[in-house]
Amino acid sequence: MNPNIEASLEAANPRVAWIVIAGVLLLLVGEGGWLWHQARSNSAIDQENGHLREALVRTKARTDELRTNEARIKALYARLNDAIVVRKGQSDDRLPLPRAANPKDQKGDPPVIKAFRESGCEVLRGPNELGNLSVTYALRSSGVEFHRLVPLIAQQENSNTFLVVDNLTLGRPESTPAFSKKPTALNARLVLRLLAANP
Amino acid sequence: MKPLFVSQENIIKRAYRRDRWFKLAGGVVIAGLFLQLAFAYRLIQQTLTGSSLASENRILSYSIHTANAARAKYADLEKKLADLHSWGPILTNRLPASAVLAAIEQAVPGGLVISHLSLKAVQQAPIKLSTGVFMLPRMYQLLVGGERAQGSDSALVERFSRSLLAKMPSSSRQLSQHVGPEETERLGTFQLVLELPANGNYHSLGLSPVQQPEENL
Repeated sequence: MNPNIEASLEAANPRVAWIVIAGVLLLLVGEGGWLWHQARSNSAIDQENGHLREALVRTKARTDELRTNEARIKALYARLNDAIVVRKGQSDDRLPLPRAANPKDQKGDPPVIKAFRESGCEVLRGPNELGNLSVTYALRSSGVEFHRLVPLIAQQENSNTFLVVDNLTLGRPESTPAFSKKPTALNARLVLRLLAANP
Repeated sequence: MKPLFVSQENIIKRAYRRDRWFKLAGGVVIAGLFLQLAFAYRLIQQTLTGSSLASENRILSYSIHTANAARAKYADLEKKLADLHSWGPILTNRLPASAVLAAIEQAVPGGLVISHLSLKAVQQAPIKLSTGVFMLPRMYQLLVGGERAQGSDSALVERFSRSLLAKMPSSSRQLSQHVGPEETERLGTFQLVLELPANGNYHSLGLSPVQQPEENL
């Protein structure tokens, strides 16, 4: 080896080269990390914007839908809501009033029950159950013929869309023979339930 | 050997030029400089994109706020619509007892007479509403009992049962059938027990299905 070169190699400190390489690499890694962080942050904002855009479209569509159907919803709600019985004097957090507890009290009867009562049925209201939005009525009659009873039930089922028959028992009186052509008043028992709402 | 006519400074400069580690360091520095250009380009690009996305985000947030404010005006209507939706299962699945009675009347043949009949909800399912639950019958048991005319065909009850099943809601089935013997002083009896699901499919009863509120709203 050339003695000059040998001497120069001895004089220069190679650690300087290493420090420069390490410094440059560190700088590049740092810059890369910064870019990556920036890209991630942008991607997060982009994703959030996507969600916001979807939510905006959904909210606008929902509002438009509500605005367009407002009249129909109100009309349908009013029609169906009329069929719901409001339980008077008894809410979930109060004890029933003495008058309200009377099962034979006719004042608070819904129109459906009134119609049955007017047709000669005896009506007994069942007790309210906590959390159960039903009013139960037990009806009994021994003076209604089949051909009057079926239209009566049909009419009430049509007038109250939330009328549910839990139990219906019809029996021919013992005194009436089988295959009798005479109009026969049946022994009828019905358990009806109506959708109720608390006041 | 020690160089005599070259200064120490020159020796070191030469070493910086010729040593491979310094050459490598120089290469890394040059590459780093070129990468700085790419970095600057990407940084500007990312900053511009970020600024544009942030601006879009602000606009969208404001639009959402406005849209929510517009929707809030219909809160009452939304509650009504939610109620309508919650009532849907009751409206569609309720079994009309009058239609069942009318179907029985149509199906009963001349040689039979019904003396007792019962329609009882044997299975109920809770329908969740906004303030509680409503128990909706999901399965009914229909019991039809009566007498047979003297000398009537013994298969009459079977035909009545088939005809009755054809008129009942879909998936209805017969649970039992009993035909009592005919005696000299007494008429023969029969009893049918059917299971009727309250599933909203009441075409056979002559009823068209109730439209769910969400279908038309």
